[in-house]
Amino acid sequence: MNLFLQICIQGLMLGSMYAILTLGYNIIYSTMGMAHYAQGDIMMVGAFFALDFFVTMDLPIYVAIPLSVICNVLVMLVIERLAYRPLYSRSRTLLLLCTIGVSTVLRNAAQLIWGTQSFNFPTIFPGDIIHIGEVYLVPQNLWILGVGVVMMLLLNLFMKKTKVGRAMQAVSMNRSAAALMGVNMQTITMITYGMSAGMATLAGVMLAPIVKVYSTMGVSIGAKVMISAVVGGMGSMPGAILGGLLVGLVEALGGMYISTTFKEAYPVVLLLVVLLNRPQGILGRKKVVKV
Amino acid sequence: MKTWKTCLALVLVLSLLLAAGCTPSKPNPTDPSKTNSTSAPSKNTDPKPSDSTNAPTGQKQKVPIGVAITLSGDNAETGRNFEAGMNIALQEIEEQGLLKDYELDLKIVDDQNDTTTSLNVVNEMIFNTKVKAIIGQIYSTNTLVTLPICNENGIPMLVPGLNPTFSQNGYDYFFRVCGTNEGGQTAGFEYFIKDLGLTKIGIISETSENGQTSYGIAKKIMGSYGLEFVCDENFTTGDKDFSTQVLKLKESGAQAVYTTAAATDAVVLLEQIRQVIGDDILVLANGASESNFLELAGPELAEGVLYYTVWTPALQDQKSVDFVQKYEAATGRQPADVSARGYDATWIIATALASMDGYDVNAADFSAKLADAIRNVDYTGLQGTFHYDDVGEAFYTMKLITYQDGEHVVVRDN
Repeated sequence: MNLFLQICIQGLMLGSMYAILTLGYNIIYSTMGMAHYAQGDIMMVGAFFALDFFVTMDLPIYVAIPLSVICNVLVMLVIERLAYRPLYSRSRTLLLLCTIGVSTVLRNAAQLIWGTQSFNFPTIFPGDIIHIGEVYLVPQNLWILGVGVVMMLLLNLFMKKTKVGRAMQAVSMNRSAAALMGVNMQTITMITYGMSAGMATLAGVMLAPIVKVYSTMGVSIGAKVMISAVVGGMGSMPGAILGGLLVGLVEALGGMYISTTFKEAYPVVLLLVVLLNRPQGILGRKKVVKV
Repeated sequence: MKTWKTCLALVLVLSLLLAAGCTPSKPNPTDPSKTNSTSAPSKNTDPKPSDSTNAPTGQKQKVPIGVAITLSGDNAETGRNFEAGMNIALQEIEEQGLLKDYELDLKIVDDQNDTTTSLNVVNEMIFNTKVKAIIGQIYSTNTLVTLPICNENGIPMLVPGLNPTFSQNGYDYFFRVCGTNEGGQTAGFEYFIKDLGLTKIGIISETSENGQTSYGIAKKIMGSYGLEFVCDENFTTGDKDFSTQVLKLKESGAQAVYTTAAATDAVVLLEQIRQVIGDDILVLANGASESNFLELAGPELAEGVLYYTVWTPALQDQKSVDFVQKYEAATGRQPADVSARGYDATWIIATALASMDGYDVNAADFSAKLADAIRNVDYTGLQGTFHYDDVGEAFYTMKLITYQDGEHVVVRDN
């Protein structure tokens, strides 16, 4: 029982890493209706900025994080302007392909700027392992889970209670109608990408002490984030958290009770099961098309 | 609007420059599509083909040597360490005036640690660049596909990879410039089982070809002691969550664990092992031999971690001490074992060439003659004395090293 409990906790901790990044992914999908494949690489760039400010320049973490967020948001906005915006009027497939290209460009650019080696990132939430009976908890992981939940709540509030959030929802429902109602599309687009990049930076800073900082750190996690988003429901903020946690749980439990050899395959099986039974994702809304 | 865009672009460029300016270590960009040509400086660099088998006296012939190593991607550091070792060898060869008749013309190309790229790179080297020998490749997955091509075309290949199967296929043109995984693992498991009397040993191996080859060898060695792994787990390269594997390891009560993980993965795994199991388990990690392991792990986490190698910066013989000094002066950091492989490979080629009495580099059988010269080479390098046997091996045993207070310490010298 203890082992089962421990592996469930491990799964939830792992899932919280996916969830925190899925939030940023979902905000782009919910507003722009596009799958942002490069989200993992945006996280990587954010982690490198944080590495520069926090480790190399030795700035306090409360200064390093905002600076990293600002730099990463700027990178994201330039990408949006140069790569994505020209394709908004074209097919979504083209946009998806473009995000794949951006992902490769970012990875290679990072290798040129920061090099190809891995860098250590000191833990920002030091503390001993917490033991509750035979079950243990890692403080850094608890923080990730906590930050993820807080981010989700804040995002939900932002989307429902603020004018900009409501405008973002309007854009996600019908771009043309939202534009006709006076919503400034360009501003909303920039805010969406900016928020997504900000969240990716936070995710990068939270994950960096655990996984280290290196140019391909977003690759493996990026795939899991896409799965989490689809499982939870594309565009749904609670769905992002649920999807991330489920993917983490399935990975951990499958690895424990079946085999670690196929650990990477269990989330894909979960994805298939969800798609077959609920194509819109667990918390996703069914798309109703007027015919 | 245009002004706004210009401002945004300027800010971005500035932020990137700022980031690049405070990069923890200087980047070393490598364009995989381009070939770097590194030559040992020489007074006369013009190759003068001749009709006879001996070049005219006083003129040095350029000998094109292909170097196929990984210089981009996750494992680029390994390639760079190898290249840095080669550069020191080149400098020494020039200083000592070893090559009277030849000039080494190294064609360094990035294999991107990818089998398809490796095939293209080696084919290009053999058929277009017309190299006379190839040094490479560091990663066994790539060597497995390129070694047969070199062998079929009579191009000697000096391989810095540890996969023991290379020498089991009867390749005439294969020469290894390091030890094998089998020798290393034998040292590790002998230490666990014979020296320490441990019986509960676990393994966490990568699902990659390299990881599974190492796993097969480890299983065979354990079997020779009548033992089986008490915990036998896998992971996919790049996966940074080892919680399940570590929990299973803890449940198995293993006293020691062997992992095939590379440096970054090994550090993440080690952190999770220490968090969950503590210091009561010995760790033997392939990745611990890599130069960035200590940097990433730090002396505290690295304490007591074991790895195997033929050469380590801890060796105190004069040659090793000199090499470490020169390497640190040139690169600003400690060499890795792979640096010694690059150094020795370059010296082996040069020593073999020096024994060829100016044989015409354009002669059809030049590569065959070079292979013969390598086979008969008598060279004592950083890793020891190279006397190749019939299957192209020079060393069958390896040293077992551990970290103590951030230093490499030899535990077992087989």
